[in-house]
Amino acid sequence: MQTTASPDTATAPPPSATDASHEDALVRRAGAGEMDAFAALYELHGARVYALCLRLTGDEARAAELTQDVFVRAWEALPRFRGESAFGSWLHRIAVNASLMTRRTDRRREARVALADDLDAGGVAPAGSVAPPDVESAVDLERAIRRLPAGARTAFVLHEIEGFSHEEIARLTGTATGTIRAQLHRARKLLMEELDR
Amino acid sequence: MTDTLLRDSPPCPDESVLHDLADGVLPPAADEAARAHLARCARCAAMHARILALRARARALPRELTPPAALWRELQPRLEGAIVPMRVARERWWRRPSVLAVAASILMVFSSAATVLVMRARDSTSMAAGPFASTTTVLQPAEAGTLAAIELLTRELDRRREELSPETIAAVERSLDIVDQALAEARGALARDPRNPTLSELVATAYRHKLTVLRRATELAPRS
Repeated sequence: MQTTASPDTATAPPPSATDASHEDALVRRAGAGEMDAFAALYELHGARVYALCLRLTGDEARAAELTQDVFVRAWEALPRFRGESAFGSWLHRIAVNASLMTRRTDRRREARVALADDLDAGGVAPAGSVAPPDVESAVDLERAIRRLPAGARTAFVLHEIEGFSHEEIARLTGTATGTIRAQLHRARKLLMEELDR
Repeated sequence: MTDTLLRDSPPCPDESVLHDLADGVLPPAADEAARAHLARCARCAAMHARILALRARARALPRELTPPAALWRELQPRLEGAIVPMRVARERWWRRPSVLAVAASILMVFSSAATVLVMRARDSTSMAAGPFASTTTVLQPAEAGTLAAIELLTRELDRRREELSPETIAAVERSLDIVDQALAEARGALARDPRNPTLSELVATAYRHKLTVLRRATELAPRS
């Protein structure tokens, strides 16, 4: 997994007016069906969407598939995008919703086939994870996040990395705020244990 | 002295309090009490520091991760193939020249027919029964065209139903009910008095209203 330049919101400079108007022009052209403009928007935002999808799913293949789905949805919805929020924020919201929807679908599927695995059972990597136990190498935070149970991972990624409040995550996931707090605390506990090994 | 302090200190708070303290979501009094406890309890202070360090580490993670190089190559055919036709269907298709032309011709045919109907009805009042005695033969083709336009718009509205709020849908349906009622009454009256130009005009107006309501409903912005 490669990382691009870190655009931490606390340190990244805000987009300049030129950047914003360039992006606006791309959005308008893409909304009119110009594939080249949409490709440019993918270049600008693909890595951000992929990072979110990867962290929420914990699975590279699933994250790639989900990233495609997000851009397909955006392509379909662009003619109705009115620019009331920044394109990046709009796209990010699609990505969060798509990731959470996938998680719900996965859970329903798992319930249907009566898998005994409980995603919320402690410390077990979710099915399909590409992060096998690797006791020989140092476990970095990314890998440790991927190995979190799904609920704890969602709470941690959305709160600590994406900056959503407990209440916002509760709304997005349809879960009680108290449950989100408990998932977040559990995620931190598991991560600290993992990183201390 | 130390023994006295430890004996008098309140017990360590639940670990969740330390998480909430790190998140800044404790009420002011609880926040103050927790901080006072940290000043006295090295164990809880260390745990709190570990939580803060983990948070800082998480926030320093890159916000972007390079996706697989093949991702765009795999995505592009999905955009160009299966999705593009859906996209065309979802565009503000009534603004596309071809659709506007069809809609305009539907309305023109209907308006012309309605005008002919009105004129012939007027003529009939002075000419009694003439070659255009049956108004329905004039109205039917235009009405069929209008009904086709209504059906097209109704399908588009149905397709967009999930995008609109229940309140908006209810308001649209109320408007359509009112127009449909007016249309039914006008058509009923025209059936009883087929040569009445005013009734013909009423039917034409009701159809135009229905088309307007449907067209505006399909233009409504999706709910946020």
